[in-house]
Amino acid sequence: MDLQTSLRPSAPELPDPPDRLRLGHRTFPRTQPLVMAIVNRTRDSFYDAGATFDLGPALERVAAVAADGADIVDIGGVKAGPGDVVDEAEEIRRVTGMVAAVRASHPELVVSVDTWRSSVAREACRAGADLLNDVWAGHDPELAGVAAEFDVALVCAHTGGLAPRTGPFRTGYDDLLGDVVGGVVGLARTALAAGVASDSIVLDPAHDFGKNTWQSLEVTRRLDELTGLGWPVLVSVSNKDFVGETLDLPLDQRREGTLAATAVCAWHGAQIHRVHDVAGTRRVVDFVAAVRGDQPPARTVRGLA
Amino acid sequence: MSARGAVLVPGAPVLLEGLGGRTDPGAAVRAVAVTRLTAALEAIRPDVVLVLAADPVVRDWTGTPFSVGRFLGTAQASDPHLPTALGVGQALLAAAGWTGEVRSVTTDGTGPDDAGLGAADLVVVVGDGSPLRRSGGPDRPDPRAPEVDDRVRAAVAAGDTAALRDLDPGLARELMITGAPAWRRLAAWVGDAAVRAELDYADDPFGVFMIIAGWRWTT
Repeated sequence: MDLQTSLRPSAPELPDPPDRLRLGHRTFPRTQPLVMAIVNRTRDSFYDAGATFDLGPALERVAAVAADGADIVDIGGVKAGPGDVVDEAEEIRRVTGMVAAVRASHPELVVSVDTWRSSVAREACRAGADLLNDVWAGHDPELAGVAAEFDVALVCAHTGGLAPRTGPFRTGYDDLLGDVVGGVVGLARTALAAGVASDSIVLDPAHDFGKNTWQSLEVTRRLDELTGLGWPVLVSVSNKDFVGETLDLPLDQRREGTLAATAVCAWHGAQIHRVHDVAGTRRVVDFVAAVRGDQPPARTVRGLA
Repeated sequence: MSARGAVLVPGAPVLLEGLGGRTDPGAAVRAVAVTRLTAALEAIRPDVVLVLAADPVVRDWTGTPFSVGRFLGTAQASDPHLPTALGVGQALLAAAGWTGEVRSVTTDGTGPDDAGLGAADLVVVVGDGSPLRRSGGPDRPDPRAPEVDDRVRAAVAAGDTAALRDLDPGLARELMITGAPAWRRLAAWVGDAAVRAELDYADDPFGVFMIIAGWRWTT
Protein backbone atom coordinates (compact mmCIF):
# COMPACT_ATOMS: atom_id res chain seq x y z
CA MET A 1 0.00 0.00 0.00
CA ASP A 2 1.47 3.36 -0.98
CA LEU A 3 1.68 6.25 1.48
CA GLN A 4 -1.19 8.18 -0.08
CA THR A 5 -3.51 5.21 0.15
CA SER A 6 -2.52 4.45 3.72
CA LEU A 7 -3.34 8.02 4.80
CA ARG A 8 -6.75 8.08 3.11
CA PRO A 9 -9.80 8.01 5.43
CA SER A 10 -11.26 4.58 5.32
CA ALA A 11 -14.66 3.03 5.71
CA PRO A 12 -13.79 -0.09 7.63
CA GLU A 13 -17.23 -1.52 7.01
CA LEU A 14 -16.59 -1.61 3.28
CA PRO A 15 -14.11 -3.62 1.19
CA ASP A 16 -11.31 -1.88 -0.65
CA PRO A 17 -12.76 0.65 -3.08
CA PRO A 18 -12.87 -0.35 -6.74
CA ASP A 19 -10.36 0.91 -9.30
CA ARG A 20 -13.03 1.36 -11.94
CA LEU A 21 -16.65 2.47 -12.14
CA ARG A 22 -19.02 0.15 -13.94
CA LEU A 23 -22.44 1.59 -14.82
CA GLY A 24 -24.34 -1.18 -16.56
CA HIS A 25 -22.93 -1.69 -20.03
CA ARG A 26 -20.24 1.03 -19.69
CA THR A 27 -17.06 1.00 -17.60
CA PHE A 28 -15.04 4.10 -16.74
CA PRO A 29 -11.71 4.77 -15.08
CA ARG A 30 -12.08 6.33 -11.63
CA THR A 31 -10.26 9.43 -12.81
CA GLN A 32 -12.73 10.25 -15.59
CA PRO A 33 -15.27 12.95 -14.69
CA LEU A 34 -18.76 12.08 -15.86
CA VAL A 35 -21.63 14.41 -16.66
CA MET A 36 -25.12 13.15 -15.92
CA ALA A 37 -27.84 15.07 -17.77
CA ILE A 38 -31.16 15.56 -16.00
CA VAL A 39 -34.12 14.66 -18.19
CA ASN A 40 -37.41 14.97 -16.36
CA ARG A 41 -40.62 13.29 -17.50
CA THR A 42 -42.61 15.43 -15.08
CA ARG A 43 -44.97 18.34 -15.32
CA ASP A 44 -43.76 20.10 -12.21
CA SER A 45 -40.05 19.62 -11.58
CA PHE A 46 -38.54 22.73 -10.05
CA TYR A 47 -36.32 23.77 -12.94
CA ASP A 48 -37.78 22.66 -16.25
CA ALA A 49 -41.45 22.72 -15.23
CA GLY A 50 -42.71 20.18 -17.73
CA ALA A 51 -40.58 21.13 -20.72
CA THR A 52 -39.64 17.50 -21.40
CA PHE A 53 -42.76 15.77 -20.16
CA ASP A 54 -43.75 14.57 -23.62
CA LEU A 55 -41.56 11.91 -25.21
CA GLY A 56 -40.66 13.96 -28.28
CA PRO A 57 -39.12 16.92 -26.43
CA ALA A 58 -37.53 14.52 -23.97
CA LEU A 59 -35.71 12.64 -26.72
CA GLU A 60 -34.71 15.93 -28.32
CA ARG A 61 -33.11 16.89 -25.02
CA VAL A 62 -31.28 13.58 -24.92
CA ALA A 63 -29.87 14.24 -28.37
CA ALA A 64 -28.85 17.74 -27.33
CA VAL A 65 -27.11 16.68 -24.12
CA ALA A 66 -25.35 13.86 -25.90
CA ALA A 67 -23.98 16.41 -28.36
CA ASP A 68 -22.97 18.61 -25.42
CA GLY A 69 -20.89 15.83 -23.92
CA ALA A 70 -23.13 14.02 -21.46
CA ASP A 71 -22.04 10.55 -20.41
CA ILE A 72 -25.24 9.64 -18.59
CA VAL A 73 -28.87 10.65 -18.87
CA ASP A 74 -30.91 10.54 -15.68
CA ILE A 75 -34.59 9.99 -16.39
CA GLY A 76 -37.01 10.98 -13.67
CA GLY A 77 -40.77 10.54 -13.59
CA VAL A 78 -41.53 12.18 -10.24
CA LYS A 79 -40.62 15.61 -8.96
CA ALA A 80 -38.22 15.36 -6.02
CA GLY A 81 -40.04 17.91 -3.88
CA PRO A 82 -43.61 18.04 -2.61
CA GLY A 83 -46.19 18.16 -5.36
CA ASP A 84 -48.74 16.20 -7.36
CA VAL A 85 -49.02 12.54 -6.51
CA VAL A 86 -47.55 10.23 -9.17
CA ASP A 87 -48.36 6.59 -8.52
CA GLU A 88 -46.21 3.64 -9.48
CA ALA A 89 -48.11 2.87 -12.67
CA GLU A 90 -47.81 6.42 -13.93
CA GLU A 91 -44.14 6.61 -13.00
CA ILE A 92 -43.49 3.37 -14.88
CA ARG A 93 -45.36 4.71 -17.88
CA ARG A 94 -43.32 7.92 -17.88
CA VAL A 95 -39.96 6.22 -17.48
CA THR A 96 -39.74 2.84 -19.18
CA GLY A 97 -40.60 3.86 -22.72
CA MET A 98 -38.04 6.61 -22.46
CA VAL A 99 -35.38 4.18 -21.22
CA ALA A 100 -35.96 1.86 -24.16
CA ALA A 101 -35.96 4.75 -26.62
CA VAL A 102 -32.67 6.16 -25.34
CA ARG A 103 -31.09 2.73 -25.26
CA ALA A 104 -31.99 2.33 -28.94
CA SER A 105 -31.06 5.81 -30.14
CA HIS A 106 -27.95 6.44 -28.02
CA PRO A 107 -26.26 3.14 -27.21
CA GLU A 108 -23.17 4.98 -26.00
CA LEU A 109 -25.02 6.72 -23.20
CA VAL A 110 -25.47 5.32 -19.71
CA VAL A 111 -29.17 5.32 -18.88
CA SER A 112 -29.98 6.17 -15.28
CA VAL A 113 -33.42 6.18 -13.70
CA ASP A 114 -34.18 8.53 -10.82
CA THR A 115 -36.55 6.52 -8.65
CA TRP A 116 -36.93 5.25 -5.11
CA ARG A 117 -39.47 2.55 -6.03
CA SER A 118 -38.31 -1.01 -6.63
CA SER A 119 -41.26 -1.68 -8.95
CA VAL A 120 -40.26 1.20 -11.20
CA ALA A 121 -36.62 0.18 -11.01
CA ARG A 122 -37.46 -3.34 -12.11
CA GLU A 123 -39.36 -2.18 -15.21
CA ALA A 124 -36.64 0.35 -16.00
CA CYS A 125 -33.98 -2.36 -15.79
CA ARG A 126 -36.02 -4.60 -18.06
CA ALA A 127 -36.09 -1.75 -20.54
CA GLY A 128 -32.31 -1.43 -20.38
CA ALA A 129 -31.38 0.96 -17.55
CA ASP A 130 -27.77 0.90 -16.34
CA LEU A 131 -28.02 2.85 -13.10
CA LEU A 132 -30.61 3.30 -10.37
CA ASN A 133 -30.40 6.77 -8.88
CA ASP A 134 -32.17 6.34 -5.54
CA VAL A 135 -31.93 9.74 -3.93
CA TRP A 136 -34.32 8.72 -1.13
CA ALA A 137 -31.75 6.61 0.65
CA GLY A 138 -33.13 3.12 0.34
CA HIS A 139 -36.65 4.04 1.37
CA ASP A 140 -37.79 0.93 -0.54
CA PRO A 141 -35.70 -1.88 0.93
CA GLU A 142 -36.18 -4.02 -2.19
CA LEU A 143 -34.53 -1.62 -4.59
CA ALA A 144 -30.97 -2.76 -3.90
CA GLY A 145 -32.05 -6.30 -4.73
CA VAL A 146 -33.34 -5.13 -8.10
CA ALA A 147 -29.97 -3.53 -8.82
CA ALA A 148 -28.25 -6.77 -7.93
CA GLU A 149 -30.65 -8.92 -9.95
CA PHE A 150 -30.06 -6.91 -13.12
CA ASP A 151 -26.37 -6.15 -12.36
CA VAL A 152 -26.88 -2.42 -12.63
CA ALA A 153 -25.27 0.33 -10.60
CA LEU A 154 -26.86 1.92 -7.54
CA VAL A 155 -26.60 5.37 -5.96
CA CYS A 156 -26.53 5.39 -2.15
CA ALA A 157 -27.67 8.82 -0.95
CA HIS A 158 -28.05 10.68 2.35
CA THR A 159 -31.32 12.39 3.17
CA GLY A 160 -31.17 12.72 6.95
CA GLY A 161 -34.08 10.34 7.32
CA LEU A 162 -36.63 12.28 5.31
CA ALA A 163 -39.59 10.51 3.71
CA PRO A 164 -39.72 10.76 -0.09
CA ARG A 165 -40.73 14.15 -1.47
CA THR A 166 -40.47 16.03 1.80
CA GLY A 167 -38.18 18.87 2.68
CA PRO A 168 -36.11 19.72 5.76
CA PHE A 169 -37.93 21.41 8.63
CA ARG A 170 -35.56 22.91 11.18
CA THR A 171 -33.23 19.94 10.78
CA GLY A 172 -30.12 19.95 12.93
CA TYR A 173 -27.23 17.48 13.00
CA ASP A 174 -25.00 16.62 15.93
CA ASP A 175 -22.33 15.67 13.38
CA LEU A 176 -23.35 16.43 9.81
CA LEU A 177 -20.50 14.81 7.91
CA GLY A 178 -20.51 11.88 10.29
CA ASP A 179 -24.20 11.40 9.54
CA VAL A 180 -23.65 11.72 5.78
CA VAL A 181 -20.69 9.36 5.62
CA GLY A 182 -22.27 6.89 8.01
CA GLY A 183 -25.54 6.97 6.12
CA VAL A 184 -24.16 6.32 2.64
CA VAL A 185 -21.63 3.75 3.86
CA GLY A 186 -24.45 1.91 5.58
CA LEU A 187 -26.48 1.88 2.38
CA ALA A 188 -23.44 0.71 0.43
CA ARG A 189 -22.97 -2.18 2.85
CA THR A 190 -26.61 -3.12 2.39
CA ALA A 191 -26.23 -2.96 -1.37
CA LEU A 192 -23.14 -5.17 -1.31
CA ALA A 193 -24.92 -7.67 0.92
CA ALA A 194 -27.82 -7.70 -1.54
CA GLY A 195 -25.40 -8.60 -4.34
CA VAL A 196 -24.73 -5.26 -6.02
CA ALA A 197 -21.25 -5.36 -7.54
CA SER A 198 -18.66 -3.32 -5.66
CA ASP A 199 -17.62 -1.51 -8.82
CA SER A 200 -21.21 -0.43 -9.36
CA ILE A 201 -21.83 1.46 -6.12
CA VAL A 202 -21.93 5.26 -6.07
CA LEU A 203 -22.18 7.51 -3.01
CA ASP A 204 -24.16 10.78 -3.00
CA PRO A 205 -24.31 13.30 -0.15
CA ALA A 206 -27.55 14.65 -1.74
CA HIS A 207 -27.20 18.40 -1.39
CA ASP A 208 -30.34 20.04 0.08
CA PHE A 209 -32.04 16.73 0.84
CA GLY A 210 -32.70 16.99 4.54
CA LYS A 211 -30.19 19.83 4.66
CA ASN A 212 -30.50 23.60 4.81
CA THR A 213 -28.19 25.91 2.87
CA TRP A 214 -25.56 26.06 5.63
CA GLN A 215 -25.46 22.29 5.77
CA SER A 216 -25.25 21.89 1.99
CA LEU A 217 -22.37 24.38 1.95
CA GLU A 218 -20.63 22.44 4.72
CA VAL A 219 -21.05 19.22 2.74
CA THR A 220 -19.52 20.98 -0.26
CA ARG A 221 -16.69 22.42 1.84
CA ARG A 222 -15.85 19.03 3.33
CA LEU A 223 -16.75 16.76 0.44
CA ASP A 224 -13.22 15.35 0.62
CA GLU A 225 -14.33 13.49 3.77
CA LEU A 226 -16.62 11.49 1.50
CA THR A 227 -14.51 11.29 -1.65
CA GLY A 228 -11.52 10.39 0.49
CA LEU A 229 -13.10 7.01 1.19
CA GLY A 230 -12.08 6.11 -2.35
CA TRP A 231 -15.56 5.23 -3.61
CA PRO A 232 -17.17 7.04 -6.56
CA VAL A 233 -19.18 10.09 -5.52
CA LEU A 234 -22.08 11.67 -7.37
CA VAL A 235 -23.14 15.23 -6.63
CA SER A 236 -26.35 16.93 -7.69
CA VAL A 237 -26.03 20.67 -7.14
CA SER A 238 -27.61 22.06 -10.28
CA ASN A 239 -29.73 25.16 -9.67
CA LYS A 240 -30.51 24.01 -6.14
CA ASP A 241 -31.79 26.26 -3.41
CA PHE A 242 -28.49 26.28 -1.54
CA VAL A 243 -26.96 27.92 -4.61
CA GLY A 244 -29.85 30.34 -4.86
CA GLU A 245 -29.83 31.24 -1.16
CA THR A 246 -26.06 31.67 -1.05
CA LEU A 247 -26.20 34.25 -3.82
CA ASP A 248 -29.77 35.43 -3.16
CA LEU A 249 -30.73 34.63 -6.73
CA PRO A 250 -33.88 33.17 -8.27
CA LEU A 251 -34.05 29.88 -10.11
CA ASP A 252 -33.17 31.25 -13.55
CA GLN A 253 -29.98 32.99 -12.36
CA ARG A 254 -28.12 30.18 -10.65
CA ARG A 255 -25.88 29.03 -13.52
CA GLU A 256 -22.65 30.60 -12.27
CA GLY A 257 -23.25 29.49 -8.70
CA THR A 258 -23.98 25.99 -9.93
CA LEU A 259 -20.78 25.88 -11.95
CA ALA A 260 -18.83 27.18 -8.95
CA ALA A 261 -20.29 24.48 -6.72
CA THR A 262 -19.54 21.94 -9.42
CA ALA A 263 -15.93 23.07 -9.59
CA VAL A 264 -15.48 22.79 -5.84
CA CYS A 265 -17.02 19.32 -5.78
CA ALA A 266 -14.91 18.26 -8.76
CA TRP A 267 -11.79 19.58 -7.05
CA HIS A 268 -12.65 17.48 -4.01
CA GLY A 269 -12.91 14.43 -6.27
CA ALA A 270 -16.60 13.97 -7.10
CA GLN A 271 -16.78 11.83 -10.24
CA ILE A 272 -20.40 12.15 -11.43
CA HIS A 273 -22.09 15.53 -11.78
CA ARG A 274 -25.86 15.53 -12.20
CA VAL A 275 -26.82 18.76 -13.98
CA HIS A 276 -29.17 20.69 -16.25
CA ASP A 277 -26.39 22.60 -18.08
CA VAL A 278 -24.35 19.84 -19.66
CA ALA A 279 -22.14 21.96 -21.93
CA GLY A 280 -21.02 24.30 -19.14
CA THR A 281 -20.49 21.47 -16.71
CA ARG A 282 -18.50 19.47 -19.24
CA ARG A 283 -16.05 22.35 -19.53
CA VAL A 284 -15.80 22.89 -15.79
CA VAL A 285 -15.21 19.26 -14.82
CA ASP A 286 -12.75 18.65 -17.66
CA PHE A 287 -10.81 21.74 -16.63
CA VAL A 288 -10.75 20.73 -12.98
CA ALA A 289 -9.70 17.22 -13.99
CA ALA A 290 -6.67 18.73 -15.70
CA VAL A 291 -5.86 20.86 -12.64
CA ARG A 292 -6.12 17.73 -10.48
CA GLY A 293 -3.93 15.82 -12.88
CA ASP A 294 -6.62 13.22 -13.51
CA GLN A 295 -6.54 13.78 -17.25
CA PRO A 296 -4.25 15.78 -19.53
CA PRO A 297 -5.38 19.04 -21.15
CA ALA A 298 -6.87 18.68 -24.60
CA ARG A 299 -4.22 20.33 -26.76
CA THR A 300 -0.96 21.91 -25.64
CA VAL A 301 1.02 23.65 -28.36
CA ARG A 302 1.79 27.10 -26.96
CA GLY A 303 5.42 27.28 -25.89
CA LEU A 304 6.02 23.76 -27.09
CA ALA A 305 6.11 24.19 -30.82
CA MET B 1 -53.57 38.60 43.54
CA SER B 2 -50.57 38.70 41.26
CA ALA B 3 -50.19 39.96 37.75
CA ARG B 4 -49.20 37.30 35.27
CA GLY B 5 -48.06 37.63 31.74
CA ALA B 6 -47.17 35.64 28.68
CA VAL B 7 -45.47 36.54 25.44
CA LEU B 8 -46.07 34.32 22.45
CA VAL B 9 -43.16 34.28 20.01
CA PRO B 10 -42.13 32.26 16.95
CA GLY B 11 -39.66 29.41 17.26
CA ALA B 12 -38.07 29.40 13.80
CA PRO B 13 -34.25 29.29 13.80
CA VAL B 14 -34.20 31.81 10.94
CA LEU B 15 -34.96 34.45 13.58
CA LEU B 16 -31.61 33.89 15.24
CA GLU B 17 -29.19 36.65 14.40
CA GLY B 18 -26.72 35.39 11.80
CA LEU B 19 -28.51 32.17 10.99
CA GLY B 20 -30.54 33.83 8.24
CA GLY B 21 -27.42 34.83 6.34
CA ARG B 22 -26.01 38.20 5.31
CA THR B 23 -29.35 39.77 4.49
CA ASP B 24 -30.85 38.73 7.89
CA PRO B 25 -34.35 38.02 6.58
CA GLY B 26 -35.64 37.36 10.10
CA ALA B 27 -34.74 40.83 11.37
CA ALA B 28 -38.20 42.39 11.07
CA VAL B 29 -40.03 39.59 12.85
CA ARG B 30 -37.30 39.36 15.45
CA ALA B 31 -37.66 43.09 16.15
CA VAL B 32 -41.38 42.74 16.80
CA ALA B 33 -40.80 39.86 19.20
CA VAL B 34 -38.02 41.67 21.05
CA THR B 35 -40.16 44.81 21.37
CA ARG B 36 -43.01 42.83 22.92
CA LEU B 37 -40.63 40.97 25.27
CA THR B 38 -39.00 44.23 26.35
CA ALA B 39 -42.38 45.74 27.17
CA ALA B 40 -43.47 42.67 29.11
CA LEU B 41 -40.24 42.59 31.14
CA GLU B 42 -40.67 46.26 32.05
CA ALA B 43 -44.33 45.90 32.97
CA ILE B 44 -44.11 42.69 34.98
CA ARG B 45 -40.55 42.88 36.39
CA PRO B 46 -40.37 39.11 36.93
CA ASP B 47 -37.90 37.36 39.18
CA VAL B 48 -37.87 34.32 36.94
CA VAL B 49 -38.84 33.94 33.31
CA LEU B 50 -40.05 30.60 32.08
CA VAL B 51 -39.51 29.66 28.45
CA LEU B 52 -42.03 27.06 27.31
CA ALA B 53 -42.12 25.10 24.04
CA ALA B 54 -43.60 21.88 22.74
CA ASP B 55 -41.59 18.68 22.48
CA PRO B 56 -42.40 14.98 22.71
CA VAL B 57 -39.88 14.80 25.54
CA VAL B 58 -41.34 16.63 28.53
CA ARG B 59 -38.67 17.84 30.89
CA ASP B 60 -36.90 20.74 32.49
CA TRP B 61 -34.03 21.76 30.19
CA THR B 62 -32.68 24.55 32.36
CA GLY B 63 -28.91 24.76 31.94
CA THR B 64 -28.74 22.73 28.72
CA PRO B 65 -26.70 24.50 26.02
CA PHE B 66 -28.18 25.43 22.65
CA SER B 67 -26.18 24.52 19.57
CA VAL B 68 -26.51 26.78 16.55
CA GLY B 69 -23.79 24.61 15.06
CA ARG B 70 -26.36 21.87 14.50
CA PHE B 71 -27.98 24.10 11.86
CA LEU B 72 -24.68 25.30 10.44
CA GLY B 73 -23.44 21.77 9.95
CA THR B 74 -20.45 22.46 12.19
CA ALA B 75 -21.53 20.78 15.43
CA GLN B 76 -19.40 17.87 16.53
CA ALA B 77 -20.64 16.99 19.99
CA SER B 78 -23.32 14.45 20.60
CA ASP B 79 -24.26 15.84 24.01
CA PRO B 80 -27.91 16.52 24.79
CA HIS B 81 -28.94 19.76 23.15
CA LEU B 82 -31.67 22.24 23.92
CA PRO B 83 -34.75 21.82 21.70
CA THR B 84 -34.72 24.41 18.95
CA ALA B 85 -37.79 26.35 20.06
CA LEU B 86 -36.39 26.81 23.56
CA GLY B 87 -33.11 28.01 22.08
CA VAL B 88 -34.90 30.56 19.92
CA GLY B 89 -37.02 31.71 22.87
CA GLN B 90 -33.96 32.15 25.06
CA ALA B 91 -32.17 34.09 22.33
CA LEU B 92 -35.10 36.46 21.86
CA LEU B 93 -35.29 36.96 25.62
CA ALA B 94 -31.61 37.79 25.75
CA ALA B 95 -32.02 40.20 22.85
CA ALA B 96 -34.69 41.97 24.94
CA GLY B 97 -32.07 42.55 27.61
CA TRP B 98 -33.06 39.90 30.17
CA THR B 99 -30.07 38.72 32.20
CA GLY B 100 -31.98 37.24 35.10
CA GLU B 101 -32.96 33.69 35.86
CA VAL B 102 -34.42 31.62 33.04
CA ARG B 103 -36.04 28.25 33.30
CA SER B 104 -36.64 26.29 30.10
CA VAL B 105 -39.21 23.53 29.93
CA THR B 106 -40.98 21.50 27.28
CA THR B 107 -44.53 20.25 27.23
CA ASP B 108 -46.59 17.88 25.14
CA GLY B 109 -49.68 19.92 25.91
CA THR B 110 -50.99 17.65 28.64
CA GLY B 111 -50.38 17.05 32.30
CA PRO B 112 -50.72 18.99 35.51
CA ASP B 113 -48.95 22.22 36.27
CA ASP B 114 -45.64 20.60 37.07
CA ALA B 115 -43.66 22.48 34.44
CA GLY B 116 -42.97 25.39 36.74
CA LEU B 117 -45.70 27.52 35.25
CA GLY B 118 -47.13 28.26 38.67
CA ALA B 119 -43.84 29.76 39.89
CA ALA B 120 -43.33 32.10 36.95
CA ASP B 121 -44.66 35.64 36.59
CA LEU B 122 -43.77 35.73 32.91
CA VAL B 123 -43.77 32.85 30.49
CA VAL B 124 -42.40 33.03 26.97
CA VAL B 125 -44.39 30.58 24.89
CA VAL B 126 -42.50 29.56 21.76
CA GLY B 127 -44.21 28.02 18.77
CA ASP B 128 -45.57 28.52 15.29
CA GLY B 129 -48.55 27.78 13.11
CA SER B 130 -48.51 25.63 10.02
CA PRO B 131 -45.67 25.50 7.42
CA LEU B 132 -48.07 23.84 4.97
CA ARG B 133 -49.98 26.95 3.89
CA ARG B 134 -48.48 27.14 0.43
CA SER B 135 -46.01 25.41 -1.89
CA GLY B 136 -42.34 25.51 -1.03
CA GLY B 137 -42.79 24.06 2.44
CA PRO B 138 -41.53 20.78 3.90
CA ASP B 139 -44.53 18.86 2.53
CA ARG B 140 -47.49 19.28 0.23
CA PRO B 141 -49.67 22.31 1.04
CA ASP B 142 -52.67 21.42 3.16
CA PRO B 143 -55.84 23.39 2.35
CA ARG B 144 -56.91 23.20 6.01
CA ALA B 145 -53.84 25.09 7.22
CA PRO B 146 -54.90 28.72 6.62
CA GLU B 147 -58.25 28.29 8.37
CA VAL B 148 -56.73 26.64 11.42
CA ASP B 149 -54.00 29.27 11.60
CA ASP B 150 -56.68 31.94 11.42
CA ARG B 151 -58.50 30.33 14.35
CA VAL B 152 -55.27 30.49 16.32
CA ARG B 153 -54.81 34.13 15.39
CA ALA B 154 -58.34 34.96 16.52
CA ALA B 155 -57.96 33.07 19.78
CA VAL B 156 -54.64 34.70 20.62
CA ALA B 157 -55.92 38.16 19.70
CA ALA B 158 -58.96 37.72 21.94
CA GLY B 159 -57.21 36.00 24.81
CA ASP B 160 -59.58 33.10 24.22
CA THR B 161 -58.12 30.28 26.30
CA ALA B 162 -61.01 27.95 25.52
CA ALA B 163 -60.35 28.17 21.78
CA LEU B 164 -56.65 27.39 22.29
CA ARG B 165 -57.47 24.45 24.56
CA ASP B 166 -59.86 23.16 21.88
CA LEU B 167 -57.17 22.96 19.18
CA ASP B 168 -57.36 19.36 17.97
CA PRO B 169 -53.97 17.75 18.73
CA GLY B 170 -54.18 15.33 15.83
CA LEU B 171 -55.05 18.01 13.32
CA ALA B 172 -52.31 20.23 14.70
CA ARG B 173 -49.77 17.44 14.20
CA GLU B 174 -50.97 16.83 10.63
CA LEU B 175 -50.56 20.53 9.89
CA MET B 176 -47.15 20.63 11.65
CA ILE B 177 -48.36 23.40 14.00
CA THR B 178 -45.44 23.38 16.41
CA GLY B 179 -47.03 25.84 18.83
CA ALA B 180 -50.20 23.90 19.53
CA PRO B 181 -49.13 21.89 22.61
CA ALA B 182 -47.48 24.89 24.25
CA TRP B 183 -50.48 27.15 23.55
CA ARG B 184 -52.81 24.52 25.01
CA ARG B 185 -50.60 24.34 28.09
CA LEU B 186 -50.65 28.11 28.42
CA ALA B 187 -54.42 28.16 28.06
CA ALA B 188 -54.79 25.52 30.76
CA TRP B 189 -52.59 27.52 33.11
CA VAL B 190 -54.45 30.79 32.53
CA GLY B 191 -57.74 29.00 33.01
CA ASP B 192 -60.79 31.26 33.27
CA ALA B 193 -58.92 34.45 34.15
CA ALA B 194 -59.81 37.45 32.03
CA VAL B 195 -56.98 38.03 29.59
CA ARG B 196 -55.93 41.37 28.17
CA ALA B 197 -54.42 40.41 24.83
CA GLU B 198 -52.41 42.46 22.36
CA LEU B 199 -51.62 40.93 18.98
CA ASP B 200 -48.45 42.33 17.43
CA TYR B 201 -47.91 40.07 14.44
CA ALA B 202 -49.66 37.28 12.51
CA ASP B 203 -48.25 36.38 9.10
CA ASP B 204 -46.28 33.78 7.15
CA PRO B 205 -43.20 35.60 5.85
CA PHE B 206 -41.35 32.37 5.11
CA GLY B 207 -44.32 30.09 4.50
CA VAL B 208 -44.69 29.33 8.22
CA PHE B 209 -47.46 31.05 10.18
CA MET B 210 -45.87 33.13 12.92
CA ILE B 211 -47.64 34.91 15.73
CA ILE B 212 -46.41 37.42 18.29
CA ALA B 213 -48.60 38.64 21.13
CA GLY B 214 -48.66 39.66 24.74
CA TRP B 215 -51.13 38.44 27.34
CA ARG B 216 -51.76 39.89 30.81
CA TRP B 217 -54.13 38.55 33.44
CA THR B 218 -54.63 38.74 37.18
CA THR B 219 -54.90 35.78 39.51
